[in-house]
Amino acid sequence: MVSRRNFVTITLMILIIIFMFLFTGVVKQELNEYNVNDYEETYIMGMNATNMYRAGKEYSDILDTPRRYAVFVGTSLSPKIREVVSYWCTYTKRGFLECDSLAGYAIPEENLPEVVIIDGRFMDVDTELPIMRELTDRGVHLIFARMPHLAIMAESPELCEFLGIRGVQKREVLVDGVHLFEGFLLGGERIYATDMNDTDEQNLEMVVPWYMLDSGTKTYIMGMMDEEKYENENMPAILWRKSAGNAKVFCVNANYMLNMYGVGFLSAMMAEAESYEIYPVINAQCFTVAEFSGFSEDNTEELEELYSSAQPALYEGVIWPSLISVTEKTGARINLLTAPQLDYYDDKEPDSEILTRYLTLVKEEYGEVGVSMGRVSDISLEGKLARDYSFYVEGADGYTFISMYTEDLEEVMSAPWKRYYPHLRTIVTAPDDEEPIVDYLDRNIVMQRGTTYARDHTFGGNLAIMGYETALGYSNAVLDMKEVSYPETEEDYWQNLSREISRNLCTYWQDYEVFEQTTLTESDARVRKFLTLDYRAERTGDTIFLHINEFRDAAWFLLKINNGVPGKVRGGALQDMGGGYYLLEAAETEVEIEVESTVPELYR
Amino acid sequence: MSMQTLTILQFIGILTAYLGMTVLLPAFVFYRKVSEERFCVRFMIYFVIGNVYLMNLVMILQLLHISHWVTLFLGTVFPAVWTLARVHNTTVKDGVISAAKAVNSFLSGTMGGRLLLSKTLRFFGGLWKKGFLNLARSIRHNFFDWVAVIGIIMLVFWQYGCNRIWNMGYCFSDMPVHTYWVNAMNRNEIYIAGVYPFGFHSIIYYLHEMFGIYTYVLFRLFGLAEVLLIHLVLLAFLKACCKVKYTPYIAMVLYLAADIWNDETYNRYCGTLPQEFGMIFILPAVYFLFAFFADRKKENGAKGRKVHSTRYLIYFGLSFSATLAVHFYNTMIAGLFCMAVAVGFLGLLFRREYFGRILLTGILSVLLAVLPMAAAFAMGKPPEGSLRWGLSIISGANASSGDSDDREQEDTEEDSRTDTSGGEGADTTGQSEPDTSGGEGADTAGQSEPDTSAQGEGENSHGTPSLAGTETQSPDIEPPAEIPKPPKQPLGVRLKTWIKGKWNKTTHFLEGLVFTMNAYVLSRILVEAVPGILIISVCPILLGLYYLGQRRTRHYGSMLISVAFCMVFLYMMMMSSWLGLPSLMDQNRCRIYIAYMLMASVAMALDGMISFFVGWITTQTLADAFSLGIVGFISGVLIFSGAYRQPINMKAFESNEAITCLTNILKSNRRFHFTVVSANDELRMVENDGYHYEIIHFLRSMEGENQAEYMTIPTPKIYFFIEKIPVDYGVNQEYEGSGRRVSREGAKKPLPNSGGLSVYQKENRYTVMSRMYYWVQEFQALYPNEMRIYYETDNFICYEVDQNPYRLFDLSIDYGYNSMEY
Repeated sequence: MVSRRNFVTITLMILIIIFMFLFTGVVKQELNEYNVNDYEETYIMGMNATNMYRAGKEYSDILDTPRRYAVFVGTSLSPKIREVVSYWCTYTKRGFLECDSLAGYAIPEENLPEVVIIDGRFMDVDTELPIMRELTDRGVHLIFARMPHLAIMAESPELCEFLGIRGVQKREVLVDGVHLFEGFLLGGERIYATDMNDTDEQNLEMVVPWYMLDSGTKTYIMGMMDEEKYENENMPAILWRKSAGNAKVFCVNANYMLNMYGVGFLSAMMAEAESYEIYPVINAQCFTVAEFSGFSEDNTEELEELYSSAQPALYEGVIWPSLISVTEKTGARINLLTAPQLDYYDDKEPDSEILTRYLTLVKEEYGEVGVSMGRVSDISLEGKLARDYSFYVEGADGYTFISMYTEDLEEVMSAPWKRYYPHLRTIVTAPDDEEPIVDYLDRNIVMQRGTTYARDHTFGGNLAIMGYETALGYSNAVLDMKEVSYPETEEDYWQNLSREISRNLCTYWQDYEVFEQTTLTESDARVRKFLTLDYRAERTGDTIFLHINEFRDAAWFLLKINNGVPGKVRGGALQDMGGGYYLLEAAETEVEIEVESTVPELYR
Repeated sequence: MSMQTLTILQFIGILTAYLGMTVLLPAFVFYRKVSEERFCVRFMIYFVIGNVYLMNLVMILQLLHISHWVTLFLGTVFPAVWTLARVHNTTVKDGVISAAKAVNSFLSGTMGGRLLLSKTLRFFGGLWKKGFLNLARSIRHNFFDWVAVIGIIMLVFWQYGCNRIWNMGYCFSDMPVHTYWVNAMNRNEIYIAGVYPFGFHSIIYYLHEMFGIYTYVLFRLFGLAEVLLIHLVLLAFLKACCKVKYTPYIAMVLYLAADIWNDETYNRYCGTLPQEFGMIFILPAVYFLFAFFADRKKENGAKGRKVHSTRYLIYFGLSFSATLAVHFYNTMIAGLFCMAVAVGFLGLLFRREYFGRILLTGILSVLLAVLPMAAAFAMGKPPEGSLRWGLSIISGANASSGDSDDREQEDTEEDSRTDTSGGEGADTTGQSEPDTSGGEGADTAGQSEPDTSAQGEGENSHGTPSLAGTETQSPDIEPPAEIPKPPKQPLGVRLKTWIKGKWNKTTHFLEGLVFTMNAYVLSRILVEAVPGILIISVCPILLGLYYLGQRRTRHYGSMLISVAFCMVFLYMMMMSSWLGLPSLMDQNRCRIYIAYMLMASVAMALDGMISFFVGWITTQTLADAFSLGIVGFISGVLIFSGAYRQPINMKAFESNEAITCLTNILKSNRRFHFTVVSANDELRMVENDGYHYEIIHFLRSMEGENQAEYMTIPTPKIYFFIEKIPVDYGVNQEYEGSGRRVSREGAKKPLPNSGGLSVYQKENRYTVMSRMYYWVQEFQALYPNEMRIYYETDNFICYEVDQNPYRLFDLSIDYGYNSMEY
């Protein structure tokens, strides 16, 4: 028998416990201002396309010393490389000049270019080699974004010697894999080799001319072959440098520079060429869940068959927990870019209450909600915007949408979306290695391109991540949920897809943990700062002086020091990123970094 | 931290480890057994037991190929525990049971934690208190002894320790060979270069393996511990033999502080060499023989092997075997001393109750030392070069070629040939091997740097030509065969002529001895003073005869005679060529022992003289005070007259900067992840932890047409040691102190073609270093971010190359001088 007194005590304890558990949930629910976008305040007035630095000016308007600049030598037949070089100059605040051939380039007496980037396919050895020699003798680095034709090389041993090539072993060789050595790109060493049958993963260029390199060269990427047959030093070099005169000559024996991630290669090459290199980066890592359409019952028949549940239940019960699990593991901020419905002709309207729930959940995860422009029916974009608007008005309760996802930028830019989303200021678009990663779409709208699809991992994709991270400190993994709602292959089934996403995000971004995880609005603010700021760096003795112009709150730079390690930093803070790279967070317009010897202070 | 501080700390570590294992541990185990002995005798007993045990432990484990710190630890601890149990009349089993009971009590709760703790603390506190009280009592009763001993230790450190800080490299060119031999023991490859007395190497290896001290650090610094013990053992021997308390210190002060000696009598103390290590065991062997005679006499011929005196024979046998296990030169000297003891104790030696035991002990001790070598020989290891030479001398097959200089020359040439033919040579990874430093080869007996012994060989300190040059010729003078025989003289005339001839020969011999001693040993005193010292050194014979007359002092008299005869034999050995005897040991080596034993002899002589007056003119206390006065007087004279010796400053064959760099490299790199490209001494120093590439091989690999070949060194880090002012390696008087810096002129010269060490001597070193310097300049222009200065002073520079081990740099570049045509 329980005494009355004990019974009362037990009851009270149970009530207290119930209250304690429920209280937190109730408070969380009630105090959650789900209809307020916390990141709205990150906008900095005046930072728009008009004051962005864009490559092409030879001298900075604001910093009154000559700006370092690059010269691109290539014909109209090499537009991709030109685009890469031009954007690299924009991002690194370099000047940009171009000419068709070196023969037509008059080397200035003063203010020499820092680097000349050459599309070797169209070079004339007889006229251009002497100019190259003169350039290197005067300390101008050369980058062969593409190698000259083998026929040209065969006819000119002088050119081979100039490029550090001892001989051509084979005109073409199929390599087993690609070995990227540590210390070149941010992220460290990579071995891109797998079973040759697995062509899905291996999408790098595997057939390359086989050059044997001379002394005085340093290889950064090499083709892998049977180790029992060939010594490493004899395996095909893919990216190397040769010391020539007072400068370095870099050779890219593959098509990397045809892709936008070549900007990372250019930054890495310049970091190798000099005793130190410092350049601005965005410092933002985004995870975009696009076309998130868990509000209406689209494609019900197929989803019911696959998952035994309709789309809203599938998204809420299965997909959302998985996504949260991934973001918690990686520390990513979730950017939920919603599409109220994908099929606008199925007579099933989205449930706005579900949106309210998601807004609450996203808020709890410190994420952000935006809009997506994807659809499967033939409805016009204007029609979609109109129908979505009523849904958002009802469910979002005044939430300010700042970010948008679209696969078709042109369509969006010609549509009247500003009428519906007047505060929207950043548009995310699908990954495309031939297009710029960040830029302004108009005076005020920032374009943030996805750097990779979260579900895919190919070697080329990994190399692209490394390139973008090295050049920009930026990544944006896009997960397109349309494929889940409308699966085409087994790989689109969520159980398979979630495994891939989890593996990719948890594995391949680990090397970039130092960069901050951001929402799209946060990264929008950082992109604006990045595109606007200008800087000047110089080294005097053992101190690197950095002067930043158009500085707002904070700016980030990647610093690479060869032959030393950073010591004391004034006006900022450094974080080691490995491979000689450091992330500098500048807190003031003037930053001083002392360089210390790498030789450990042991016994003297 | 500075290298000087580190050196001092390293030495303290080495000395602690060595004395801990060879004195403290045996003391802990055997104290109860030998507690009735005097402190100086106990010290010798512990030291001999500790060393002989460790030597043989290492050799056995090495021969079984199971030598490792674990086996060494077990081999040290288990026998020590077992012996401790035996000494304390218990068994290991009882000890284990007792410990288990205590643990059981603790675990079962019958003994509380506090009680256990207090018991343990009380036990160790008791030990500590006992030890402290004993020490305090000892200091109180022997205050001047303590002061004097500390003074002697300080003097040893001052005289021989400063050089370890001033010149950190190896001072003798045969030290790399010994380092190589010890390094090979890491792989359980004892007798890597052939069968050789490995006692010294075993001790070094033991310290290296058990305490993790780098072999190059041991070879740099163990010599100081060695020289300290040489002096302490001399002091202990004299303390054990002398009747007057402070006469031993007279000898110590003269030996350590008086500026009377030829430099070469003590220069080798700057190295870490087996011969000097073996010296430590000579005097203990002699003392234990003395002690045996004394103890055996008290036993009145008691039979059986468990009589008390047997222990001295055991100690004697261990000491004697240690001399042979370390270096057979020491065995020769110990043998000579034993012969002298035979003379001194002639009346007892051939008695049945003495002779058989001594003979058996001698045979067993030789067997103990020879057994490991014989086992290795039986397993197919050939004798090492110098051992072959020694055996040939003993067998008389090569009696005339007794000069170790010649032998060394031959060995070096032989090793040089090995070098050029590749020897153990460049392996696939491009690492060079023994070659040039190995070329020093078979030192063994040492004699490595002929130039340093120049002073004193040709002339004495006053520039007077010595007879050393003529003495060797005298045995060759033979009467012409065709001279007609003179007519037969009357007997008286013939006798007179014979006596005159002998007299002339004797006086000529003594004259020669005086000059030789002046030239080789006592070079810094007037030649006229030498006869006096010679007389003092042999006067114990007369004193001994006096003491033999009294039964109470007969043993003391025998000891005096023995010491004096030892000197006589040593003088004979020194003058063996005059006497037509085989030259077992050349004068350069012999003088080291003569100087050492001379002090024993002088101390004994002074002791005999002072003791002569004790009992009828003075008391023992007064005699002790008088001897202390003499110590003070001599010290005062030396200080105020300026006749004291300055600390040795012996140039090393390697710069201090190279040692500093090497220390830092070893500390900051993972094992076998780096290669040092340098002249030659570092080859053996880094052998256990990294790779070495000789500069000459490196430069030759890109000389002329070789430049086109791909040349790599497969480690992530490569260090280049370059002497901006090349050091003087070995003989090079024209280069000595020139301060010549590496230059383009030097680099323009063709690379030396010779082999062995000569490529790093004289102008060759200047050329090689100049070439290397300009190679580095060119390579740094090609790889400015990958090659950096690691360490630099005015004389030296070290560059570090950081390379990708998966894609190595082609080090073969055209630096201008390798493609020149001559």
